[in-house]
Amino acid sequence: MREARPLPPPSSRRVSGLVHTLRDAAVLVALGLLLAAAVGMARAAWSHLPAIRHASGRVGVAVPDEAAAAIPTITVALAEHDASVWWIDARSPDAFAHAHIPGAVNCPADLGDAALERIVGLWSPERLIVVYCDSAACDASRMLAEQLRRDLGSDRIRVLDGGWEAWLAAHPRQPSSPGGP
Amino acid sequence: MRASLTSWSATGERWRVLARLVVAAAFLWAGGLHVTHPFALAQSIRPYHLVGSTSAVAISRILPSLEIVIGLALACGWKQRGATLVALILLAVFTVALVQAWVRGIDLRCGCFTSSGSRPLVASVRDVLLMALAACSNRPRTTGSPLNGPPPGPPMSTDGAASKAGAEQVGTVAP
Repeated sequence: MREARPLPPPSSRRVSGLVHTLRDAAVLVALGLLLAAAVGMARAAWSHLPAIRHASGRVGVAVPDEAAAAIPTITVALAEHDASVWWIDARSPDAFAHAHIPGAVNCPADLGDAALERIVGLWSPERLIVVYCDSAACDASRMLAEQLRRDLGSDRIRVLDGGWEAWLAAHPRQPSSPGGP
Repeated sequence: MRASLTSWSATGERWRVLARLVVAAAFLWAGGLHVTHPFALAQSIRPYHLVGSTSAVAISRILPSLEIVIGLALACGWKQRGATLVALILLAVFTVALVQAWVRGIDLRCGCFTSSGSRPLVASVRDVLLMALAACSNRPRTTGSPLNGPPPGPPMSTDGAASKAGAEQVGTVAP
């Protein structure tokens, strides 16, 4: 038979209960941070594990053919008639520095979340994103477009039909912009 | 009289569990949507003009996971008071952000559950209702429940010793 002893005063019990609640809250927040770190690592693994090297020498991310095929394309003429177009250059920084479509932002597909952070800082949902790479033969623009559609949750994303070569063909005399944002 | 009081308490307890499950479902729904499209969440945070792009991206990476953890804890009744406290804090922050956007006349969609979202005023009213539900779900216990533990009173074991939980509530603790 245990001997009972008086309970602490109500104010002390309230403080004890508050401390207990705060400790539980801290545990849950810590678990949330752990889960966020795990999700971040899983996303990074998804972005980088299936990396492939294209014929052009660029590194991209492999996606299923059916997913890539689902990204709509847009021609140079149609894109230029849309005032809300925002060009994203999926080529390498070197190629972008040499020449690019005026106003385009360089986001190589292999940059992963870093490229997305750059886009998030500049994009607004009403703008139509048009991604391009070297030509119709390269896959970097489709891969980046697929990643953008998945991560931004937006359908206003297109791939430039024919890529940079098509834009050059449509503007044979117009010098392309060096440098840029 | 005693039977009617017991029935009343049991009904109240059921409502509290229901309120808790509604808040849990809201958090799980929002967290599940945002964890698959974190950058869409970052996009919906930017128009509030409260944080920069870098902070918006950081929040979009942490918030969905935290919402899922809180939702699961509330649904399971695990660390319930802590989960309710975090839920109330999050909902209060959301409400303040929405109200300041409404007061400043910022035209935005809340982005709480979908990329389109509700108007700030509607979303803030919904958040206040969720706060009320969360607060109600955690009132002091009056009866026992499978999710909340034993009822108050002197729970006596067969050998006459009071359990620690019961003893705390009747004024004694085991040494």
